[in-house]
Amino acid sequence: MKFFPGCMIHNRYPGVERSLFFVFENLGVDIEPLRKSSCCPAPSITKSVSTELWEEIALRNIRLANKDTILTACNGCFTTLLEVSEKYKIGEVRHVAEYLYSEFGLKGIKKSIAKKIPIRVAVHYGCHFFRPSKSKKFTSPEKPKMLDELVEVLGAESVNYRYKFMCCGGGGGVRAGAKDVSLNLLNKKMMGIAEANVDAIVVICPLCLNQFDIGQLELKNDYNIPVIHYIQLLAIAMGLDVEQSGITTHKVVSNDLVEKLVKGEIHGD
Amino acid sequence: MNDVCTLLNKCIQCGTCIGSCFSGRITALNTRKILMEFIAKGKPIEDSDTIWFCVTCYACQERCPRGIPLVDILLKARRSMIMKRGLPDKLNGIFKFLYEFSAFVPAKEEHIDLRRKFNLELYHSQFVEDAKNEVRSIVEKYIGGLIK
Repeated sequence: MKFFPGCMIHNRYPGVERSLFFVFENLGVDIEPLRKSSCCPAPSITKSVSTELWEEIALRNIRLANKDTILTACNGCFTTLLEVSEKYKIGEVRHVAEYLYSEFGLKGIKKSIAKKIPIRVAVHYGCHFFRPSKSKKFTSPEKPKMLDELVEVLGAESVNYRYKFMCCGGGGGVRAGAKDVSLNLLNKKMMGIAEANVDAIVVICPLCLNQFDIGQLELKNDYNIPVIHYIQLLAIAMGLDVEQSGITTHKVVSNDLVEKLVKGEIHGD
Repeated sequence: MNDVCTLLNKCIQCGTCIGSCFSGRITALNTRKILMEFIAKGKPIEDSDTIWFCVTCYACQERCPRGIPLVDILLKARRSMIMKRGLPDKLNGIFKFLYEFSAFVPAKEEHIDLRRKFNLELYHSQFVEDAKNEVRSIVEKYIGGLIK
């Protein structure tokens, strides 16, 4: 299997990559980086300009894997590579969340962890994990439960909140093209999350991670709710040192959360 | 454009699209109205600047009872707008990054240091000259003339 990092993980959140390799080593699955891969390129913003450009760069990335399965941990990369691979019937593309869920299952994941993490989290799927649903038949296009189940199997509580299935405001080129709109959307989302009184926001996409993490600083509203990629949480539950997961390199850091993650809870059953 | 016309004329103005639209709650983006003006007056979709406020969450497209691929249509309208008026200034910068670094989000020195901290190699095409040039030539081929 080849890991496709995309720009965001390779260039902004390498802790996500470190965590992912730790998890796969732990599970005994061979995976190596897809060397020389470029920007996927990001689906909506690239298609806003040229679909031909979108397809040709994506095809170059898919061909680099030489028919090996491509694994991504980003909803944007997932959408681009999956849609283009299906259109041209070349390669296989998986998102790490649906891969773990269907290949190892909740029981398999539960067996693999060293400690439970009893924290309250707000999960955010990110629109492009489950929509457009044409190529994504593994979950519901309205109210997916996969990520809720994936965090709960680690001993965390997935708390319901207002605007749970709303966009983070980072997609569609809106963050790049209309920053005020992007931050307004984020603020609405953050209000819902703040009401839920959680220890962390758990995402499965580094673009959402970036929007929540950097965006909270830009909003200047003192929400101070840390954001973690699911794979970082899983790696910590499997025993990766919290520092090595990279979460302390994110912009929003909470000592309270770090303490809870370091401590965990002995996995009794 | 004929295929799009046929698709849009399926619209029954039920408002499910705008009811599903989070961006429409805080901006002037009104997908139902954009469709209505196209059907009733023939106003091209690319004449509405508000199409840039769509975050492409695809909720409208998933829920449309008439199966209109609304987000795909808005993206197509963005392309037509760019053909007429050029690349918007705010997007020019990131497409320049794609051309120069083969990344919408290129790494700077601090990000390279961060990768070293985690003991990770630099293998994105941004750091591999021949790979970066391959991507650059694809960008040049399709939108070379658009980037300022």
